[in-house]
Amino acid sequence: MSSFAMSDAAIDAAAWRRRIEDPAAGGVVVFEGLVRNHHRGEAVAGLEYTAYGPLATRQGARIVEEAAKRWNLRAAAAVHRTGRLAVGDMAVWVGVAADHRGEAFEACRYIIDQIKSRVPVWKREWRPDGSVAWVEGVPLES
Amino acid sequence: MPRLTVLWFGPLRDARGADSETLETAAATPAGLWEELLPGRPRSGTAVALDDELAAWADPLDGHAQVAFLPPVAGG
Repeated sequence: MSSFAMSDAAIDAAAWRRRIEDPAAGGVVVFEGLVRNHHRGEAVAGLEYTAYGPLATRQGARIVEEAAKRWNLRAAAAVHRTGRLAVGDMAVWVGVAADHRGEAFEACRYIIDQIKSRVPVWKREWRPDGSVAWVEGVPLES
Repeated sequence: MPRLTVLWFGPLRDARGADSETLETAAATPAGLWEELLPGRPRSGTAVALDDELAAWADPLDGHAQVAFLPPVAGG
């Protein structure tokens, strides 16, 4: 089973974790990406993510599916936030379940790395002084 | 002329002042449409999608209803 979603509501990590449970899996690796209070030496008060929904969902599903096949995963899922987020909020959640830890670590790392370059999402950051700036990105890959 | 919906994202949305617009164009490709709408603006690092699938700058617009211009992404 694999799945990917874009969500404008808070990520329920426990609920997503339940979706990747599988009695055949001996290892689960979960990555939680959080909004941090600094970026390139500047203080950050919050973020806003916007996405190209239909393409983001499709690209994300492809990435999760690729990982599931390549590492023979028992289950894999990921979810990415849109909207306004505060420091400490979860921006992305990735979870994979595999027979052994090696595949689980590698597959989880693959999914988050690929999300960053292949899912069309943009990020603006708020500074404590109220100013807003787009966060420099990377060219979208297919 | 064919009617197209154009979607703008990220910094391009600010540059254009809108999330989307519907227009008529004689442009034959996304590259031509970009030059018509944002003349002289470098498109380096920008990707393009036709009807919600990634496409090439030289692909024909003919037969498509929607174009999206996608500046560098910053997810995760």
